[in-house]
Amino acid sequence: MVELLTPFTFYIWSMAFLSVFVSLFWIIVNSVLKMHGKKHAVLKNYPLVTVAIPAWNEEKSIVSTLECILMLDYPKDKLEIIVVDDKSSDNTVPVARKFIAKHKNIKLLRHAKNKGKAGAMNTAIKHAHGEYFWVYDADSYASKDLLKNLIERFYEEGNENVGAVVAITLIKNQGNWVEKMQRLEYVMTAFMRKLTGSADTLHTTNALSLFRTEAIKKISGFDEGNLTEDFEIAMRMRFNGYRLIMCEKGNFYTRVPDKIKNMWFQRVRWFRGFIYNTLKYKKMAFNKQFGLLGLFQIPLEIFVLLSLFVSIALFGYHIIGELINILYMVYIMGYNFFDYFTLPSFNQFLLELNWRLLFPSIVVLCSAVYLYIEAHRYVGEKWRFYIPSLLYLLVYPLFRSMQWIHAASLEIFRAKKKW
Amino acid sequence: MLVTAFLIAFFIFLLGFYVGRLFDSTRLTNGDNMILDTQLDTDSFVTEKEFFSIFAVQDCPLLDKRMQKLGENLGEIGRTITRYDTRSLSEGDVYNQLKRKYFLLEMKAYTLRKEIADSCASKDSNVILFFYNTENNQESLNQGYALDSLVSNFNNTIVFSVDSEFEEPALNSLKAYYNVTIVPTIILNYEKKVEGYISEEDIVDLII
Repeated sequence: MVELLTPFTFYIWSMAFLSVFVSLFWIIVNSVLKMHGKKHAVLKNYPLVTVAIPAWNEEKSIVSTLECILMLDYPKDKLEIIVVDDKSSDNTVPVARKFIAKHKNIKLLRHAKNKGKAGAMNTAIKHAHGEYFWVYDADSYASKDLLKNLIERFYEEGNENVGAVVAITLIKNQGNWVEKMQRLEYVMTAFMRKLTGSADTLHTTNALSLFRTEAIKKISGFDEGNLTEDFEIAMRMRFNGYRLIMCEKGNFYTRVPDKIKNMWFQRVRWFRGFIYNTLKYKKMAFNKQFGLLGLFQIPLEIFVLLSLFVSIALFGYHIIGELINILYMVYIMGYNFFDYFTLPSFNQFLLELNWRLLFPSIVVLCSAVYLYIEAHRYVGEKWRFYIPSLLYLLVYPLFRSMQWIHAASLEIFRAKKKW
Repeated sequence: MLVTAFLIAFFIFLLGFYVGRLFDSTRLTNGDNMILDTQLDTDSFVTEKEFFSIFAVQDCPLLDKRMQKLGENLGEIGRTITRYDTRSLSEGDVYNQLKRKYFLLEMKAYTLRKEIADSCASKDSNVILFFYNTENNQESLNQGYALDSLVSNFNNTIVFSVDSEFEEPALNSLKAYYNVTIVPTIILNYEKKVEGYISEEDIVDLII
């Protein structure tokens, strides 16, 4: 009679139910998507696209980035490329100038002082003539067909109010286990974005998202000084009634941190940005006007974040209590402590399991494996389980929880923003 | 889609509850079987003792040995029931009946042990009656660990554990007899009462 009576067990039950509910929801969304395939728009005339490259100390990568853009399968006369040098201290400007001299459709704009990525993009918007505005990070590269695919999505039926199309992001460097672990994260993120895009709850963009220029101008450009300007502009677009969708064809590749320390600080910055911007647009939560995004996605994310802290507090209390108990046992029983733990028989083991909780947990685990396989299928990669996968599934959530705590504490104490 | 997901999740939880209930029943049946076996052992022991008494046979070592085994079985049942305690959501009444049977069996074994100790004037083994309450009572838990350690170190020690909070008239009489007011309380060899936590070393000093 104990289980339902304590706040701890009640909390565990609620979280188990929520996990089953959410995982099933995404499985249903995925199944519905499979049943209703979309018709892709085919264009005879492609519109003018402004490609904005914010560059800060990119002397090593700027040329390859520009070459990559020029090699895209897209009419060259429909590309306007703007490189914005954000007061680089290296040779980015001379290197870029040398390359630009041979190409008429590339412009170089320079900042007198460093304004950050959002500032560089705002400068590019002011000079943009394209109907669409493509943010192209200098450390990323796109597959040849990506831009066409992104553009075509805007012209599909019912996508008239789409403000941005988000591309699938994959990892360029997959050498060490830190990178491999992030590869899984990117695969899962891409898949979840596809699902959220289909459920019309997508509210983030990434490094190579394609925007409707008019939409960006209407909402006054990027938020300079924001830690995650790509997330902020996505939220602002949603707040102003624009939709965001995923492009399922074509990929872009980005470099990820190869050391834990760098990865840690990158994620902490992302999470700080998430907390700050979610609070900034808190009016969207539980607001019918924003459909499933307001009634389901944002409240769910807030709940998951809050539950993270509650979980840490409750489990911490529980674990500390158990540790104290074990210390007492060791102190009192001495060597006899080891006699206390005997392996139960198989029948006894089965009987002692909490089946009411184990049953939904098995469902969640199966759902997670299913989504994991589907995510790999979605990005066109072979799924497999190897050590980084195990680390990602078992260790990374703990690591991530600590990053969330770090980010939340920085945000609570209004620590200085660092990029 | 949200409603569908909610309904399926709800159905999965209901199914989980059903499976859990099936396991509750199996646990209770398992506990009941263990008690039944020990009850039969007790009855067999009582019959044997009566036989010895009527036919004037005095085999104290054999009685001691059987009593020791009975004590071990009761200890095993006690541990199993305690573990099930955190799992029993449904059939609480049946579970309480099981606990009641167990405590009554313990009391019976305790009484038998006293009878044998008196008739055989046995000084070879020690009997400890332990009144506990594990809910939010670290001292009771610690006393349990100290007694477990004692049993590991001294094979001739039998511990009978009684949940002080459990409502059972016979247990109430036992508590009243020893005037148990706080937990943990232990009764050493039917007479010496110790209130509050006492370490293994101090128990050894008292019983040897």
